[in-house]
Amino acid sequence: MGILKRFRSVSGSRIHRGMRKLLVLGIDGTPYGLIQRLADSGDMPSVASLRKQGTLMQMRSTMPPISSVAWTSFLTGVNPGKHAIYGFVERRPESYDIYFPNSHHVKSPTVWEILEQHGKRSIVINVPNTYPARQMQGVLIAGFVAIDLKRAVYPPSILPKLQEMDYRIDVDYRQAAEQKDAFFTDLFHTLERRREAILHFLQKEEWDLFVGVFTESDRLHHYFWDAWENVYGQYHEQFIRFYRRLDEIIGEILAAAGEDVRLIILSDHGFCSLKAEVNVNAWLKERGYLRFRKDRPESLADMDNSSKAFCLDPGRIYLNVRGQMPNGSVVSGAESEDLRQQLIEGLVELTGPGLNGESENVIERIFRKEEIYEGPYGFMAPDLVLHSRRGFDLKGSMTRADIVTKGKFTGMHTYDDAFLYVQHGRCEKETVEIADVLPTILSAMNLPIAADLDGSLVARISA
Amino acid sequence: MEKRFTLWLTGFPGTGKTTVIKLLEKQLIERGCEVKLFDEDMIHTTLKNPCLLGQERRGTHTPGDGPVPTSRIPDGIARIEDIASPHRDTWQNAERKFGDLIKVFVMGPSRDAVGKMAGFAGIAGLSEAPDNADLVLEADKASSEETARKILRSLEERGYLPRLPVSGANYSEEEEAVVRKRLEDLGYL
Repeated sequence: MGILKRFRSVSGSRIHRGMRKLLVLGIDGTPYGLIQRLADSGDMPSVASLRKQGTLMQMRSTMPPISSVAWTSFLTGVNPGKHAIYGFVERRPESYDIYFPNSHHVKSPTVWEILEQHGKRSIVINVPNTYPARQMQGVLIAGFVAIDLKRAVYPPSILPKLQEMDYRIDVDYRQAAEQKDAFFTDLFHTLERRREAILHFLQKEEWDLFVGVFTESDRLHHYFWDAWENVYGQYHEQFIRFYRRLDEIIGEILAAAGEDVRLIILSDHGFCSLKAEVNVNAWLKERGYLRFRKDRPESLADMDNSSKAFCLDPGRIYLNVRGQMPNGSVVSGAESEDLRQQLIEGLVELTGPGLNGESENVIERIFRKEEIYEGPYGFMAPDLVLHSRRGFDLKGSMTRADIVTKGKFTGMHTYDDAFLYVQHGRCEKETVEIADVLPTILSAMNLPIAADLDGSLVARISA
Repeated sequence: MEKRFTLWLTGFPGTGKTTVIKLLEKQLIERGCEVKLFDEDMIHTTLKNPCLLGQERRGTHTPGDGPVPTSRIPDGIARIEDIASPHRDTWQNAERKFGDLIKVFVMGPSRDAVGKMAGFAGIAGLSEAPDNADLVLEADKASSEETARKILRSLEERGYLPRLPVSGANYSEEEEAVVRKRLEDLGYL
């Protein structure tokens, strides 16, 4: 036994560990265009320096380009038809009640579960949709929508350390539109706490894969995208200051990780200026596809049985098909196909306010579910997924009566302008998607890439 | 910890039991358990006998009979034992003594491999899981980490370990209200 034990410890993964360690940093909602410009302008010198050592490329998010969906595709390397996360809200089976999917609803193995099969240890900090934290080989601190730090961490023994460092799960954005200065104070405070946690676990724990995500950027963009675009605006300098500080932190993390570690950086979706919010259920109601039993509906549960279709955020349209929904009114087959076609033809004509007072088409493209989703959880998929033009933020609110509204947000997510950076790697694909990151991670760590992953290798990372 | 227990791992030498036990020890400690570890090497040291233990000798070192491990275990302590002794009566003796014994058999190499080592004492009974094993794990088909995790889940299911406070997929009403508000404040509802 003694001889076998010694043999194992030498021949096991440890001997190669230094060569194969991989650091993945996420910057939630940061567009390729923005990071390129800030690297060019000298505001992000660490990123500018990294560009010379690898490839910084544009990347597609998921459809819809929502953090819970996109980060789950990053973690699993598959489309929602396999991982079963289609949005922040979902309809309960046999009911019109909604629920909020969480880590328990992810149906495909995550990167740390795959690594665990190869005896590798992961540290995962602040990735959205990993709450509640589940047992794993390593350390996990869950991200959005984590509501209780105690349930957000694994192993529980790390909780006192996080409490000691005043770790923050998220920025307090509740009053961001009204109390702007207070938001920025909290934004920077949260960023520093994230930095401290990442550096602590990076240096104190043993790991093969380290994933740390900054979500502060997404909160900033939702409320202050106008501050990025308007260089004369009151908060433009604060916006730039955030990215300068983030760049310094990236530099610090790289220095702490050491030279043997290879690096990937990515965002989960892009961002652009928001012109108007478009309430799809209000449009469905106006056209008679959706009816409610109340004058002022509060939720999907108030929907009348005669309804033909409804929308869940952001642009996921479900047909009320008999046999699939508890009170379905549409017959599956030719009738449901006709309905889909009618909806597509109507929605492509939908317009919203454009530049100079002219109206613009809201919809860029409408996907049928079978065009973009594939897998055992395809049955949960929306029948249609709307992809809006830039500036039109699709909403699934049941309560808004007006089709076009303007709220407190100045930025909205985009599908095709996320970014991916691969150090010491040259891009081997024409079009890069977020599901491609996992195979790239596995390749960088010299691990096999399972055939059932949807993503494929973006770049080989040289040693 | 919910209650004390003894986790007894047996199986063919070289199946990775010791690695699994090290992982279990670490994770049990992280989850607030006090852990005592007894492995075959410790017994060898105690007995000053470096060779594999034969069936007869193994039988003399059951928890009920031998000096190692001790039978006095205070509440709240998880005890993990790593002994290649799959004998039915060894486990029965231990069960009588401690009650809370989880018997884990770690399957290893094929029958052929066992056959090649047939001449070694104590090997003969190791190719098949004893019928009174609580958990049979195929170590050659899973990583040590996976094997350790299966054991931890089994301990949770048997009530020896508290389930992590994340066992439910659904939020409580209060939690759901908080999640709803967070999502509303980012414009998702």
